[in-house]
Amino acid sequence: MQTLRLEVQRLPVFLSALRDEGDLFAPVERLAPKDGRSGVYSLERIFDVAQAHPEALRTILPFKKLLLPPRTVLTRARDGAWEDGDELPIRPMIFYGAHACDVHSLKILDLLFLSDFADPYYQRRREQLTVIGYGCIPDDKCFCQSLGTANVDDGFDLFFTPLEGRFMVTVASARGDDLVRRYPVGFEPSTRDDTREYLDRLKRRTEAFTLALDAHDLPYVLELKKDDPVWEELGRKCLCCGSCSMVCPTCTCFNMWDEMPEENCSERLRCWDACLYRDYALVAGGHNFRARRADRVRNRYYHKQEAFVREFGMPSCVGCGRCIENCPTGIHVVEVFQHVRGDA
Amino acid sequence: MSLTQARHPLRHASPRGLPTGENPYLPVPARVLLQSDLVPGVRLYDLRFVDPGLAERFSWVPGQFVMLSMLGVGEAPFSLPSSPTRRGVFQLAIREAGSLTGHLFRHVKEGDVVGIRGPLGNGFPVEKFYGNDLLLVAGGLGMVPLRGLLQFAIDHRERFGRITLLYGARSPEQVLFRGELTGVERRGDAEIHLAVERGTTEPWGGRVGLVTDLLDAASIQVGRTYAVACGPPIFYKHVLDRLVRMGFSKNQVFLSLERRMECGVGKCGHCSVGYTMTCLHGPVVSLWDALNLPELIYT
Amino acid sequence: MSAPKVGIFGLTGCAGDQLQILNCEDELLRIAERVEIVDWVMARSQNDSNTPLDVAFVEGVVATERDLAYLKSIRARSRTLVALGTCAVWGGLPAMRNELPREVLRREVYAGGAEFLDTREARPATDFVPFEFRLPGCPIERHEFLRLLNAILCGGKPEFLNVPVCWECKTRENLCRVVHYKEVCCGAMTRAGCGARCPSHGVPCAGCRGPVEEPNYDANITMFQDRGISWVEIARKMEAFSAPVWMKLGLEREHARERARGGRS
Repeated sequence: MQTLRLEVQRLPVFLSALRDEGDLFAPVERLAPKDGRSGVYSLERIFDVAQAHPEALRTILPFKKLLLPPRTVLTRARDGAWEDGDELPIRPMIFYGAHACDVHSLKILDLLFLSDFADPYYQRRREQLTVIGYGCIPDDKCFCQSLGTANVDDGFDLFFTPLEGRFMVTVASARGDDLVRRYPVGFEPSTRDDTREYLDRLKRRTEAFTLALDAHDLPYVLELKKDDPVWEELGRKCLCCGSCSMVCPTCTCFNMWDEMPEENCSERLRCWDACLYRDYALVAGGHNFRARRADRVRNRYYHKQEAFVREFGMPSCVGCGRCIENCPTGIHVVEVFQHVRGDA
Repeated sequence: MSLTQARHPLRHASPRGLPTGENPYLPVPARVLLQSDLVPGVRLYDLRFVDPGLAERFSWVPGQFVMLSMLGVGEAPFSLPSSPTRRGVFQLAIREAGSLTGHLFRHVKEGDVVGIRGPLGNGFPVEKFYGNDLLLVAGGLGMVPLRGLLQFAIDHRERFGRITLLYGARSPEQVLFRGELTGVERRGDAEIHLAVERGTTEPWGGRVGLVTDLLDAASIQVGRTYAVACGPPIFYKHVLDRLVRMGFSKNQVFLSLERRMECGVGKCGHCSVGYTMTCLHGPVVSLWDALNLPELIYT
Repeated sequence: MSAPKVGIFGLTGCAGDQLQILNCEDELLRIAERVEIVDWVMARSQNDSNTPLDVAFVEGVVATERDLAYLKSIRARSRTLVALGTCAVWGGLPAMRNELPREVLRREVYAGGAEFLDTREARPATDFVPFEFRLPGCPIERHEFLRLLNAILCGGKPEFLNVPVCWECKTRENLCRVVHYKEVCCGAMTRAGCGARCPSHGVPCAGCRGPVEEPNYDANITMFQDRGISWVEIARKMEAFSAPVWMKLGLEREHARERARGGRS
């Protein structure tokens, strides 16, 4: 890891130059029909760097949409032969505006999609992805601090942390280093002042968190609370609309099915799915292993905070707060776990 | 937090492809050489990869499964009922249960090509069984994966002690591989005991009753035996409990789980039961592991 | 092998689903080459109403005795029968006012002189004869129709997902009509497939594709009520499309509850 500094006004120059490296993606404000401003952001390809809102805490969909698009043609078949459905080459992508939780979710996706049978569709996109982080200040839905995902020192290429009139620039990969050297728009070695201010900012940020989840022993608690009435209660409250899964940066379940867009041509599609949907565990012959809504809701929480910990040694929740923001019936993940513990 | 933290022992750090290809999602053409009705509604397919190199190379462990694709119809998992000791051609025994199998039964003829990817899953821990007696308990279509294990054990007869198969089916007409099993017994390769829930007009030499009755009648030396059970949920409910009461340790008993599968390679999430991906860490699990899953394997 | 014989029929309804087939402009000629359309009143002047059909598509509700007889005759001559559109699958708009007696409707709409109408309670075609496939939508989605047709012609049986509109709405990153606009949106209880067209154009989902299996109606009602929306407003929106099903599952229960409370129902 290496740290640099850059004057605030030089950043747009650098970002504009990056458009030569590939498609530049950043959080962009969604337009609302009435007053124009919505306060809601989505990750979009941008051409004008002034559109970027890297400080936006969360986009509706996380950047998994770049690596695992909502709809992918996996294979295409004609005359009894199957071919890879990807249109190659995959264009380089630069994601500007990643926060620490985003980078941690990227590491989780890597664990799933690059271990065992590496997923070629994910891998191709992953190899083309450059991650440029941006320092954030949490709001009342952020609880990454409780999950150990509030800070990050690797897994990205460059990270810009705003200081007074300048950025502290963290370089965490050779690709990041290449970019800084290829576009010398005014990067300088960081100073002791920069470091001091950076650490002060981190401290202020740590103190800014208002939401906390006691996660350290959750797997053990959950193990003992499988029959807790809270799951039935949630089963009554949950619409099973799947919004939480769609917006979750680490929910990666998908469905595969074949479509015939034209005669004699068959496409196998991969589309996002959610474990909350009724037919998720339905097998041919009609048996549904999770037919009850309460069982599906419980399964989702157990997968995040219990099963994943057993498999990978950490929860698959990064505390980004998207599910809190998007649940139409107001199910709040932190309150759910407080409830399960008996704290609320 | 780094990428090198504790992870499930069955997760492979270094990624690999499938024998059918680097891209684990890509089906490979295989030709239907023969198809025959095993019993009404269940067909046996003999398949061979169109690529001759792959056809010879393709091997598996009994208890593993493959994904079968049909153009425009989709894909579904099927366990391999034959043994890798009889390579070149592999078999699938398929019951008509949904739209994909319906299409297979109605439209696929001998000589046609289907898509295959695999083998998938862990398969039975056969090496663990070496030197021990083997008790196979099958219910209904659960005979399909056990037939592969039985063939394997017979082809390596010297590596196993006594081999006993207890197999329960609905009726005499529903007994899979009946002629073959009779041959196995006649040659003395294994003891075979069959039970049907109800007799029919057909003369039936075996027992009328449940597979659990066969367990009562069989002479099993529990201490030197591994038990492998395959069947529907109701079968597990009765058989597994009985095996435990016979004195089997829960890690001496293995079974095969059924779950919805889409990808077969541990990505899509559909087959997960807690931290176990049925397609990756299963479908074969010990009874101990099965009982410790966060969801019941039978209700 | 000769081309499969196809018939396309409308019972009581707006014929919008048949129009959607005609709207498949790029594909229609190729379809006409692959199948023999023998009976389609909307698109042909000369029709054969007796030949057995390989595939028949039926849109609309059964709202007259004549509809019912027609539907039964179509079923009798068809190998594969497809319910086309929300009316045929769920009852749709025509079934919305079933609680009013036919006599009242006749009087209100036609005053006198409509004695020739043999009208009956409007019910989906799927209530009367078995259908091999059901394609909801008001109107149907062209891509779903083409997908179904291609699959039927190659002997397949396509699956249509039983997931709510939110599934597609979220992937399109629309501002949620409930969370951000506090509107009655039927998305969470309605079957996806439309690409969340309405929310993507800034209006809440009207539920036109009919309910997903086991929708959580109670939680939906609570969700709207928690946002200060009146029961009447909720009911007006939710009644419109999947009325027959919803009447049975939700409204009746809620009316009963209201009555028990002594409130207005």
